[in-house]
Amino acid sequence: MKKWFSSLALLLTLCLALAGCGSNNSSNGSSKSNSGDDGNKVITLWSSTTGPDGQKIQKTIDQYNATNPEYKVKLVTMQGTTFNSKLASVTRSGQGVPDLALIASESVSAYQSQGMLEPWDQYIKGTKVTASNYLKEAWNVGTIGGQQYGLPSTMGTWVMYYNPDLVNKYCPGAVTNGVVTYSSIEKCGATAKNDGIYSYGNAWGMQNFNNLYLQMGGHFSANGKPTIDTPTAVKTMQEFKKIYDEGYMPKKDENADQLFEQGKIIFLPEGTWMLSEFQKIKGFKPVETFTPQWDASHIVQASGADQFVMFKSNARTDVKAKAEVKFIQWLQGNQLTWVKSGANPTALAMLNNPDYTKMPQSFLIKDSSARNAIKIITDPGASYSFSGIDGAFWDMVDGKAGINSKLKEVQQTVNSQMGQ
Amino acid sequence: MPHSHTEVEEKIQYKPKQSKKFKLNFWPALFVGPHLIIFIIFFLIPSLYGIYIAFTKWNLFTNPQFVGFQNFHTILFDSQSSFFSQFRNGLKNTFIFVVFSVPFCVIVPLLMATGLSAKPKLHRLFQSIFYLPSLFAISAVMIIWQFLLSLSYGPLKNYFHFNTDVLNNQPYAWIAIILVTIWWSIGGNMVIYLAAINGVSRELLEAADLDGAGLFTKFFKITLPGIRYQILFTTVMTTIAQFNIYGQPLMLTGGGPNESTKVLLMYIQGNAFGQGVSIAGMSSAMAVLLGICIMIVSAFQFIILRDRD
Repeated sequence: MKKWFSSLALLLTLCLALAGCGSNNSSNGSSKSNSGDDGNKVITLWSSTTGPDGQKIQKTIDQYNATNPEYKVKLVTMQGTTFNSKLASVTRSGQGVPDLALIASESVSAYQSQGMLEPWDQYIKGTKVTASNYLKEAWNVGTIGGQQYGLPSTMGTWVMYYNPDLVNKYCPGAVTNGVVTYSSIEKCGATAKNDGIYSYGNAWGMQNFNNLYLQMGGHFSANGKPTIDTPTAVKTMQEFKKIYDEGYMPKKDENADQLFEQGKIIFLPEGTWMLSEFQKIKGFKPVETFTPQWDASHIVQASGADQFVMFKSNARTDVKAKAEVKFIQWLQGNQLTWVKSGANPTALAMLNNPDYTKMPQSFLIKDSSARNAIKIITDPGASYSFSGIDGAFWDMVDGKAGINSKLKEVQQTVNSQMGQ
Repeated sequence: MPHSHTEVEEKIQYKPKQSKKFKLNFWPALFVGPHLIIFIIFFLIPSLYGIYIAFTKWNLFTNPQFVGFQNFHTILFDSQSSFFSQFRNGLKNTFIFVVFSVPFCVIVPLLMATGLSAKPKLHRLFQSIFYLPSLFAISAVMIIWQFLLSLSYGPLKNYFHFNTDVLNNQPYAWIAIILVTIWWSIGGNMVIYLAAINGVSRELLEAADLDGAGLFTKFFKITLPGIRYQILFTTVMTTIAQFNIYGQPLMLTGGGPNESTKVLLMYIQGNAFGQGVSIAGMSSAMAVLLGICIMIVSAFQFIILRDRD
């Protein structure tokens, strides 16, 4: 009896453990049905945009679903690392692949080169989702080998905010037609320094480097190979070091965003996504404009443009893919809630919306010369270069590492990573 | 020599007893079973898969491509590769941390436990206070300390007029990481030592008192030998834990200044899950080498600290 009871208990334990695994499988199954089963008439959209921005995307999708489309859109948001690891596992297994995913501009070519993306061409044929209806640079991100692998959504851009009161006090005339040069920043710094005011805030070294490097004529690749250890990169870093050494830039430990909000920084390059935060400032009214320029007569403005992509999946039908295009087409003129996050639309139809054109960030799209200044980096290995500069920026600026030796080190790392 | 009748009888009687011994007893299996299943699914299989991945090129998305010992060769011998320098720097920094933190993480809780075992006034309150940091998540602890050590927000500059950014200058960065780690991890070892010290023979201590032994003599001659197994256990476990350092430098210094606090796990994580296409094979190879280092050091500690009797 005792032996029989023990056997039963052991069997029960094993069953429970296996049932745990089983329930996991069934949840995978449900996610598959969400993403792939045509009967559901749901388009699953994966995004790594969380927080307030994610909520704005959700509201926009709610507005689309309220139009009673045949296929409703279901947004699934997750943190960046989870997003990448989940994408990796579902695409490998082929189970639960999302119908639609929103990915960073620099990721399109990486995924495409692995043969993981489905082209849009046959589905956008005859629709308004065409190159002419989008910002050229943002559209081109998704074009690889003559095929369209990504369709642009919104554009998050590294711009600049400045304190107009401090500009008037320390360097009136430093801003001309929305353009501030590095030379003006240095002049402002010289006059403001004695009052404990910084002229330039470095909130994200890599973004500032990217902009100045491109403005100085630098390239992130040559002949398909990443280039980061170049004379232009050295010159770029020397400029930041000069501003720091002169005392015009806060130290690494000091929070540039907070100092700006407290009125202690004149010019602060930051992302368009910081707009709503800076609109809460009470002491002054910050102005949004281009990032600082090396040459005022040749404006270059680096940016990113998230792209809608379709990861390969046997479960996605042509009908569903066309429904996805219909959603993207609807977005062209209906992104007002989404872009309240501070981002810019990539579809030119939004220029007809006066509520959008009144938004501070719209300066980048309204004017054709500003549109032409936008540059989206899609060079091979650029992500590795960004990561390398990100980790080394402050060491080069505050002299913990030599600029030449550190850039050589970053180049070696990028080369090794590309070699894998 | 011929066997006596009784001996033969005993052997005959013994045989069935022996076969009974090997019968599976289901009760222990019932208790161990669930853990064993979880261990196999969530630890053993992933670990074996991780070891296999170390011999492949893998970007997480496509199928792993077997490359033999190529990853290990690159990490250990290819000085032109950044993975070679990453491994050397990461391992060096990890060892620096282990060498300086483990003795303190063993000795400081031991001294505290010794003090508390004398049952001074409010000893229960202090015991709780010392144990409390161990209950906090590493992210919460590091955010608090980042503020405390910050020049802008912390007391260092504002109250003590110390103008050096400790998280961005050496040797302060290492000192900060080690101090925070000791503060955070004191509780676990302290509780083990407290329980162990309470188990030390009172008779022996009283006898030593009668023989005129002082406080230090009693501590080194009676208490310490009495808790040697607990010390061995905590030393090995603390060493393994400190080899896996990741959160403290990641959140406090970001691996800086100039990668001087960038430990091996930061490189492993960065290569596998950082920006750009994943380099999971190389990361796994680094992780396997780190695992081998931990095994060697732990085995060495066992040999040094084992009971020679």
